[in-house]
Amino acid sequence: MRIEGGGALKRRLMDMGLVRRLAEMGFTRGARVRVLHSGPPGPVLVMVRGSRVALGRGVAMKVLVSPLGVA
Amino acid sequence: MKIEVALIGNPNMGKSLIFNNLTGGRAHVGNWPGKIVEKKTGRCTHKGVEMEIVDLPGTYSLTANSIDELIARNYIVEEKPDVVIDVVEASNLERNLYITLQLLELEANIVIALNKWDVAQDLGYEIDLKELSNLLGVPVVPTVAIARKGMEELKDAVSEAAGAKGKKKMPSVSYGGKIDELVSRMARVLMMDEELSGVYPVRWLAVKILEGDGEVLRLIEKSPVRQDVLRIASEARDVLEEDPEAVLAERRYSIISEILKKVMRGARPLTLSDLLDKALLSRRLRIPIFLALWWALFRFTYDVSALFSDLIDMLFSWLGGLASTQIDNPQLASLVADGIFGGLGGVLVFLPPIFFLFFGLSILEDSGYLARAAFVMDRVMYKIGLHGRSFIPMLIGFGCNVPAVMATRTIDRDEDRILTILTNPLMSCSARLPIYILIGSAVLGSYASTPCTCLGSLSQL
Repeated sequence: MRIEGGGALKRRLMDMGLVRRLAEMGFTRGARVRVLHSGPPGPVLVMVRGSRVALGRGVAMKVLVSPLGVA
Repeated sequence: MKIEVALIGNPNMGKSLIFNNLTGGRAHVGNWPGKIVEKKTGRCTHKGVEMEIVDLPGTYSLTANSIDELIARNYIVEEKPDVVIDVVEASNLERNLYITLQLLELEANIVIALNKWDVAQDLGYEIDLKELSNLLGVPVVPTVAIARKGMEELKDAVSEAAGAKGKKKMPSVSYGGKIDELVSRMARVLMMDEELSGVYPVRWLAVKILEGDGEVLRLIEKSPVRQDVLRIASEARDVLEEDPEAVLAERRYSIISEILKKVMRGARPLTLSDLLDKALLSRRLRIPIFLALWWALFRFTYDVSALFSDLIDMLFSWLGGLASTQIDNPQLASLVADGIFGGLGGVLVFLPPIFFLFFGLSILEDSGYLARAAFVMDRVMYKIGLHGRSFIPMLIGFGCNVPAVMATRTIDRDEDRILTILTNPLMSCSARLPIYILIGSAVLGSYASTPCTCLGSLSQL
């Protein structure tokens, strides 16, 4: 499924190391993220805080977002 | 006066360019002790101040996530350079200032080089330099490293900052009520361990302990105050109701957002980079583009270098011929002609392909395509048990395995890195062609040409 538009980051389900690593990359609560490219089953390209970040699909699945409507 | 200056910043922000501009390109390249990470140092003299400049590895953060980050962090904490130049990309402040906040916490004496200043202006950003400098409490110098702009001003700011070292009050990062209170309490406890507080900034230690930083937790293992510190840390987990590491990162980003609201205006339009990403990563085009680019790279390497290889070959056969006609003693003639010139020639013909392969790879890297290639190849590499990031070292392995092994340092998990290093020698590097020919002709005699061509084309295409 493709997630278009933006999403507000809500919660993450994962171990401590990943939480910190993601938080440092800018994936924090309330941060706006936008999926720029997602071609399953490959990795996902995400825009967060003005940077393009590539996430493995497994990690990306653990980031929970809620839609912000069409940006 | 002699001062020590460290350069730090995110990767691809022009840090190396600034290093070259400051030192005039004269660098001493070595290794960090016990690590496979390159250490570059250089010197420059500015208005009577002698500066010893160390180029730290490019990092996004100063946690202990990878060797690069750890090296950069340990250097700043333990060597305490007089000034740290933080190279920040002007058009991407939000991400770049994260490391700046961590440097402030380390109580480093920072000068910010706001690089790619021209790009930010072209994109329509307006940045209030004075306000930014005020809010962060550090000098900010706009630079355009590629055009050598702002370098004199940067040197001025560095020598001024070095003079002011220890005199001005260090700005501190405030995380707000509860966290600040916990941090100060823990810092007071840590102060009592003089061995630790003599070397490390205690507030930084406290923050890192709250974040559960493995390296720092090891540091306090033998400390007499360990029990008290860990008690406060576990208390923090209860009080904050959430993982402290996530909360602290969140706070840092919200501090950055607050600062940016005050100093920056201008929106981000869809850049050329975004458009290119759409094409390079689209499902139908990414594999053809990928294959076409690699084919072009190897074609370029082979075609351009063939000319130079032929020239080198001709030169050495001419020299060999000259030697065998000029020297009377047949043994000596054979030694010089076949041994010295023949041997040198046999090795040197492989210099052009290696040189051009690296030339091509560095162009691809600077264009940003290599990062995309890792993205495209992630799935495939995963299938054979490697990491998406293993792809670039594997590819460099076609040229030479030594830099390929060095390139594995960007892979942050030890297991992935070792696996990539161990499988890398299986990539057929260009210098193996003569070995194939030697063994091929010894074993297969006159039938050797076909298998050798196949093996050779695998490594050369």
